[in-house]
Amino acid sequence: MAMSAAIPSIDSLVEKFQFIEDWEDRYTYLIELGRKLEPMADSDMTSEAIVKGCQATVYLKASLSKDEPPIMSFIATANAAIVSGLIAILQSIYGGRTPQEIIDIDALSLVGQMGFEDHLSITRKNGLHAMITRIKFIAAEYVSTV
Amino acid sequence: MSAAPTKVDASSTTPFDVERIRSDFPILSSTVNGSPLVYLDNAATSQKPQVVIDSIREYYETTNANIHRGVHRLSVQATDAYEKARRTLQRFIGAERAEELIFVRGATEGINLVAQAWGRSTLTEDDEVLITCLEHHSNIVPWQLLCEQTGATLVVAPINDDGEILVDEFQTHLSENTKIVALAHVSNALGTINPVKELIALAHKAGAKVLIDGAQAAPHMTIDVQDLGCDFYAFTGHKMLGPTGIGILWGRHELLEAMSPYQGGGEMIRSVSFEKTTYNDIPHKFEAGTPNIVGAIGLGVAADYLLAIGLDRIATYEHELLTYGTERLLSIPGLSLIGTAQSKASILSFVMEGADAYSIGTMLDEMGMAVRTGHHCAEPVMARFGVDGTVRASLALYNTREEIDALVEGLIKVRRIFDLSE
Repeated sequence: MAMSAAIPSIDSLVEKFQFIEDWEDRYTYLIELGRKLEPMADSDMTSEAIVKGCQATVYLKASLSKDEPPIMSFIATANAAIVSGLIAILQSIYGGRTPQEIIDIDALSLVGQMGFEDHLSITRKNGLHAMITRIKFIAAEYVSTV
Repeated sequence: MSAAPTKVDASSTTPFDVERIRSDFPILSSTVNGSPLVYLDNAATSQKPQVVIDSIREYYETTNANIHRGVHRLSVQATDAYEKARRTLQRFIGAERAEELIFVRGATEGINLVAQAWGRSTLTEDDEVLITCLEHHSNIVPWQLLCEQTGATLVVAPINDDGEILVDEFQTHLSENTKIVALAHVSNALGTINPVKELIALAHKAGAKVLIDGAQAAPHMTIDVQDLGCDFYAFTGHKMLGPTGIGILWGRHELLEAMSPYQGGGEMIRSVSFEKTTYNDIPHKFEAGTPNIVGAIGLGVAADYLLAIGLDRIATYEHELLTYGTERLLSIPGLSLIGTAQSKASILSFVMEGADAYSIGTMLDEMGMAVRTGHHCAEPVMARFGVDGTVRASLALYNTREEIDALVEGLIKVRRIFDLSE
């Protein structure tokens, strides 16, 4: 599983972000989460791994475990601290899930519950959308090949 | 239709009243994310004064008609307003003749027009196009396309660590094969004001034509194309308080006359038959189809507005603001300016250790500040400085010291959010 053990569960993230009111503190925490990301190997940062539609540069690579049912995990990196934090949140949302579960989860609604609707600018949302779309696309490919 | 008079005082002896100027720009009194808007993204696009906004509304309310082809009253009035705008812009850049000014969509289209309508019939595979390392993509890609089409070679003159063109190096990159030199008057990513007059003279000595990309110069300084001595000068309306989708390509009369049309269509023809079509005179030869009439009129009003304040006074004010901003920004720990030329327009491009440009821009937005982050459509410049992007605060005539102070306070807050030392 690529998700670092240091990244809290989605329930505790939602609770934590709902608790922090000040936007500065929210960003501080988001950056902190991003710093917990597992580093991505240079060899994985290929042009195919680039997530298009993000203003920051984001690389994302997914894999499927040999478990039954197989669990999908992904590793990603960004050249922007805020986006790294969003990757950590997505790892928490999608961690330990099968590809079908990943397709079914409404990640945007969970991010919305964290209260980011007002405090993530439009471009950032686009980046978030792009990452979610890529993850779900890969999940769908896994589903169709299993 | 008559252009609305500007509110500003034309007298150069009047102190530069920035608050009065600000009151001409409705958007500047708005709030973003609960804070007063601090608009520092002027190199991307400038805000518009009320007179420009009014001229657009007024045109559609009172004058709207197609130009150059109607005998009815509105068509004549619209044509007059459109051609009046051309004459205003002629005055704005000190051109000898109004017909040397072609209305285009912006500097980008102006450069593409020259590359295609002049370059394709002129260049061969033995020829070279000389640009510099600090060009905007709009002054790189059209020449790359031209080189692909003709087999000519693109040559790039280097810059130093301050972001200045090295004149000696520039000269060594000129040769008898250089057919055209295309360079920015002012760098959009760094703010460097290039010594264009000197470079134009050197290029001419080598027998090359010169195109100046004036997109970042037009709103900030007096432009005199005859004094500069260039062959083509392109600039954009929306960066100089005018509407989007309009700009000017100025070219020497004899060059424009000799050039083939850029696009075919209405307006640019004298007569059409299936056997032979003859073309209209300049500038109409290059204005195929119904042009952006209201854009041209709005741009004329914007140029009038800037001329009424005085470009030299604007340059002086912005330079003071730049000096203040430079000092204040350099007081922030870990902040480095990218672009430290001796001669600079009001652009503050910077990086801050420990915080990426993208996140800085996002956090400043939370505080109501608009800056640009990223490569600013000048990736080769970013590569030259070994960064993948910067934060760029670009100032205009309506910015204030208080806004610079707000930027500095904002950046200190960003450092706190990133848990960096203060």
